[in-house]
Amino acid sequence: MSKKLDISKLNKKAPYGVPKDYFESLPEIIQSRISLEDEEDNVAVFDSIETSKKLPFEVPDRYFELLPSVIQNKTQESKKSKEVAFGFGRQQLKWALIPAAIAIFIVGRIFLFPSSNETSNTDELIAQVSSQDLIAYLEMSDLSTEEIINMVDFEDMDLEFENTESDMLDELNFSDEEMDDLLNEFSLETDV
Amino acid sequence: MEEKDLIEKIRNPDTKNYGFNLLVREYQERIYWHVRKMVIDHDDADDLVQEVFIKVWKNLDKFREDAKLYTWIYRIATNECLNFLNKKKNKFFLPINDVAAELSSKLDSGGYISGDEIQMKLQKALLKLPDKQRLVFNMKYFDEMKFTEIAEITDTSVGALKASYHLAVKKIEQNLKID
Repeated sequence: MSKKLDISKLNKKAPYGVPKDYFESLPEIIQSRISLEDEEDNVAVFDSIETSKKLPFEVPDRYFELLPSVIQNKTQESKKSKEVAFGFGRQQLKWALIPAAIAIFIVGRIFLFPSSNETSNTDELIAQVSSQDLIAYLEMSDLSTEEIINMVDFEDMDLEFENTESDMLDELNFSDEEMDDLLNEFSLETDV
Repeated sequence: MEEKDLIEKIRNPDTKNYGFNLLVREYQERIYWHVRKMVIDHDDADDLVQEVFIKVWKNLDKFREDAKLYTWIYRIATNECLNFLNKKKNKFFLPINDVAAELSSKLDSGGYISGDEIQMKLQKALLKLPDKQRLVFNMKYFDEMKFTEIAEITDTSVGALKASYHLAVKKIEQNLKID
């Protein structure tokens, strides 16, 4: 048999509370919110100090008369420089990369396939270094492409270029996306 | 000129340059003073104002008309000011107080500065506020913009702006009383 609930015996105290001093600070919070709501049309809010809305700044004579022309000239300059300065497109970029590709090829050729039959210990040591490490080293060094090429004695070398230039271009094999990334990196025009 | 007429001229390729010229003439002073109040120095303000309008020019096609033209330009100007001040701090590894000190010294000895003691004290007290709070204060107190307009420009809630503004007023009052 279930017990009947006698509500007269129930504890009347609510099972929840408020933070300490809540009701002491509540009126002030409400007042400040009311003043915030009301103040949209009333801008001056410094009660206890003297202030001024006048700014202590000046401009040169005729500054605002001349500024529009200055800006107009700059917008025209920026328009022209965008059109003229960088005329590279995809094809030109491919051609520009050929010297770098040739330099890397020559360096690899020098160190991997030396022409002399008598190699020094140094040459043997260098030949043991992978071409990737050599390229990385050369990229970090101060040597220019020209300096590298000048080190090569072409007459003694037995170079065979298997690829024609057009084949090399194709082998560069940049995707359109990769080409766009390169062009964007160097702020180059994509429309030729 | 009505904003919609200005936009119409700018959208038409035949009148774009003319429309842009009108836009600059319409808004240059408001934008200049908005920037100048933040960066203090006239030459810096001049550079930034030109940058703002060049950006406006370059991005006119991207203006979506979901906000007012003036709000959009003001927003660009606001971002340019904040970026400029942030670059100053980062470039020289200056803590905020040193940038404030630098700007304060421009009030003392920079060109195109002329104000009475009260104006100068207020400007120096303002420089002690964080940049964004100073920005909100400038727009409310000096430009008398509504909080709803400032909210559109800064992409902040009206409530947050009101709180920021009132805190700014309290801080300025304290700073001016100390000085």
